[in-house]
Amino acid sequence: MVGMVIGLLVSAAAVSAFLAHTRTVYQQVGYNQASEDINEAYAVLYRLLLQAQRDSIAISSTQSGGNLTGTTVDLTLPAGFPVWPNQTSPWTSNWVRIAWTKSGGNAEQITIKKASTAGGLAGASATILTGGSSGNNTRITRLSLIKDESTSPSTYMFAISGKSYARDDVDGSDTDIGATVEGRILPRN
Amino acid sequence: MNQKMRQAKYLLPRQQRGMALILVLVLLLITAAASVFFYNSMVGSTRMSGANRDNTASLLLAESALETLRGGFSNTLNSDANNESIHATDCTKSRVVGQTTTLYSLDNCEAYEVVRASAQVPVGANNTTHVTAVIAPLDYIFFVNDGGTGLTETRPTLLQKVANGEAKGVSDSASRVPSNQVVAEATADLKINDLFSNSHKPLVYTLNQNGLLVASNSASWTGITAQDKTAAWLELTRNVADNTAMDIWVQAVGQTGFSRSYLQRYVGTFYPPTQLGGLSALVEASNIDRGVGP
Repeated sequence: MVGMVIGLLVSAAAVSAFLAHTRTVYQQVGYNQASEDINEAYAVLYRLLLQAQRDSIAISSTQSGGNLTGTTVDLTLPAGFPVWPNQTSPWTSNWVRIAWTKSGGNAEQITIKKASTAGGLAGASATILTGGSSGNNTRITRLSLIKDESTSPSTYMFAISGKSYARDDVDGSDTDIGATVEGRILPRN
Repeated sequence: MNQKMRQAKYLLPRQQRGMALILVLVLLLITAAASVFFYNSMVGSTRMSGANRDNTASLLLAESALETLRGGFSNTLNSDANNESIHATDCTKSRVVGQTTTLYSLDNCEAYEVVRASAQVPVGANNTTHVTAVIAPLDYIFFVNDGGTGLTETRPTLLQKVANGEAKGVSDSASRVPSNQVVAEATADLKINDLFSNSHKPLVYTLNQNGLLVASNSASWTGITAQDKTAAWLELTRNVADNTAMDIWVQAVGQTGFSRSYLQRYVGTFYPPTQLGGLSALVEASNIDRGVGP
């Protein structure tokens, strides 16, 4: 009996260790994925914003309790040039909208739209660049573009943050570790 | 068959209990050994996981600092090298820390300085005087002197020297600290801290609670006690194809806990005034008519 009890205890400890180990690996994979997603998304959008026409950039954002809950950036690319996502000849879909929201439709995703006019952006279909609030998607928790008018010409501080799908915010505090990439952008056009 | 022989075919009850105990003990030993092995493996894996996470975080930190500095280059073909008023506004207010200081176009600044330095020293001389005139306005730009003849493209970069020094864990030494922005070629190993002096130092950042960079005015790298910190600076090297032209690189170090990452990215090549049309930062936009010079 004593042997069996000890055996059971050892087995329980082994299973517990196994579960903890699995969780560690699960979270690590999620964090690595989040880091890579954020880094890649930043690089893609950095190149896009670099080619924006400076005067066309319009930023709108929503906040709740001091926290950013959504950002929409409208901009134009020089018409007539094949710059992603305006890739179809004669390259006239040069209005671009980059959007992120924390909740609602397309929650925790970054989406891209293109249209030939400013008014056409609202009805244009959205392409999901990265992220998602379900499944094994990286959750985009921040996208901010802040105009720095203290510089001449004005520059933009651009930041993207994200968190792993492997949530460890078991108490609901949403404190799981996230990844952030940011930088300064001086649009060239 | 007698009674004794019949009994020998079966284990007595006491013997059965003994065998069961041995069996349980053997199983217990196997389970315990497997558990210990697994536990050790798990501890190693958990450590590796933490190291991996810190390493990734430090890489993103370096990336952020690097991009914050690189964003100061205007990325156009039209750097106004002859406009002294732009130089005065943009170049002398060179330290970009936070959003309270007036920024400038690093393109304009460097383009102007290349022209100015070339006016002082014959083009092609590419000597130390020339180079120091170029780097003087920016207190976070450095170059490695190859022993008096100026720039070189064949020496290890400053970032390599810093990475070597940090990896070796060389102790702080006042003799290694460059007296100005010129790092002696003989200096094989540098600490990040060596790049800080009263007259010049890299741009330094820590993180706020949202994971965004916050500029730091710390006078040293080691003086920052934050878990996450990062530094970025520029390095000037000679262009491989044209020994009168200069390449500019942005370099950054990110540190999270004990993990450090080192990043370097090419910014552009700056030419002396005889080739003024060739003044160019690296232009990444695809809508440029490259048939027409600035």
